[in-house]
Amino acid sequence: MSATASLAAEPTFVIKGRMQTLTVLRLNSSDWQQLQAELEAHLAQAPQLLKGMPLVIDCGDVAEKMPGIADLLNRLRELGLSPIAVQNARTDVADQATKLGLAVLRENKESEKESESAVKAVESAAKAESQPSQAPEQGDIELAEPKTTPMTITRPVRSGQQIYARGGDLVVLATVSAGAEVIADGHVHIYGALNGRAIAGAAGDGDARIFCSNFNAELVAIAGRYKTSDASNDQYRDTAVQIALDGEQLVYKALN
Amino acid sequence: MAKIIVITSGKGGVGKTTTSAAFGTGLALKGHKTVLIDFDVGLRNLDLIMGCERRVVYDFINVIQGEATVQQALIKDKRVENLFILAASQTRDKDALNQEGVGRVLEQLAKDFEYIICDSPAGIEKGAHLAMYYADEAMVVTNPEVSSVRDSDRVLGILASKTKRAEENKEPIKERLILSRYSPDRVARGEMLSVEDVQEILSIDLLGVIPESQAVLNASNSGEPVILHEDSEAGQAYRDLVDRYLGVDVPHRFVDPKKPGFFSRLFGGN
Repeated sequence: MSATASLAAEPTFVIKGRMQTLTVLRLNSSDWQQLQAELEAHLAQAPQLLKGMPLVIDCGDVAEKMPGIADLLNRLRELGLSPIAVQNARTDVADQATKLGLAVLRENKESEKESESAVKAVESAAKAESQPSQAPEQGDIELAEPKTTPMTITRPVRSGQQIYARGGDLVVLATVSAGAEVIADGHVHIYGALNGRAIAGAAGDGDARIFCSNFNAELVAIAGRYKTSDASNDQYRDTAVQIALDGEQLVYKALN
Repeated sequence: MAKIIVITSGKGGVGKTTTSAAFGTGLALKGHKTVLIDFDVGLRNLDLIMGCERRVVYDFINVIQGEATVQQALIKDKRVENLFILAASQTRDKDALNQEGVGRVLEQLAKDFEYIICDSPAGIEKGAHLAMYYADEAMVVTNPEVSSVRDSDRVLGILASKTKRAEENKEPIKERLILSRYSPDRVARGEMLSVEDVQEILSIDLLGVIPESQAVLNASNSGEPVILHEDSEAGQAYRDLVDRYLGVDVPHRFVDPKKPGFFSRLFGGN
């Protein structure tokens, strides 16, 4: 068979090094029940975006008096999160984590402190500027990272679908249907008709804009300021338009 | 290798089962060995429309659960050569379906058949999901009204993301639109969406337009796929649709309002 021949010619795997942004869950308390309740409320703000999100558990200040980790893992998984590693864990907790299939990350307290303060600075800056209502809270962290490559969608975005370009721009080369949602931390470009919702600057970037060649949106939002179709300026319906944030106001401008 | 085609819509009552029966019968009439599977467990209808409800001994669920073989459950159509039906169970519910079992049955059928037509239940829950999961192609049946179009749009999104082909990153499912219960006169009066409106919203290939027709109701009441009623417009539209599917270039009929004929103008009839 040709399949076996090609198997012999090519190695069965390739090992690649890759940098990935990971979300860290820093524990401040070992009351798992309360933690689960608070996390659940937090996740409810953007359930689709955070579903299955890989997570590093940082034992932080509770490392010394931490109870077993198995129960915590169950609770996190129940919420739809995917814990993949622990760090700053006591030896016995780390052993337990290894047995449960988690990786144990090397401690990195110095750089951790640094980036934490960087994140805090960005966070407070973002907060001063705006309070995004739609944006996932953990998106704040992405602001400290360099912008990632834009996301390009060539197939129609259908009713009920949600596309999120985390940390970058989103380019849609097809129609966004009524009931669909396109979201980006940067700009949103739509070269088909926009009949659904478009959200730019989801992590709080007020400089983000929405560009579309045929505007018919149900809702548009930039950095948490939104307009529904009833309130939108009707004169721009079915035209090419760009939408930007001017202070507190969404402003529309014809694209020619 | 057999082609697995799902007939789906999201919304109920738009003509999925009518289309499944007509399309499957049409393929068989052209000499292709075809099996129709009813995925609407608990609300089986396909056997009624095909007129074989009294011949159901074993059903799809029996086969999935290993209580009968595929050969025992297949019902051979009495009118058309090469046409078989696998009925749904009326006494179970959708939970009796499971992904692995459906996959196994389809794999077995694929050895013997050219076309496997999966008649999906309405909705986007388990039954509908499993009907489309293994599909190679999809026919989305839509009526020319906004709620039906919106539901079809949603189903198209699921076809593009939650099916085997999507999960395995293979070539996407080929999607085609069937616009049924179309009434050109009502479109002209602005009471219905036009073919162009629907195509603009859904942006997929149009396979056929089936006119609203009394013949469809008559056919299903008498347990005959409407495609066998050659004198009816709906029957002719389905024949065109099958030809078009098989690669023959057939113009779309029944999309423009009828011009009053000489006699009806003379006598004022309709």
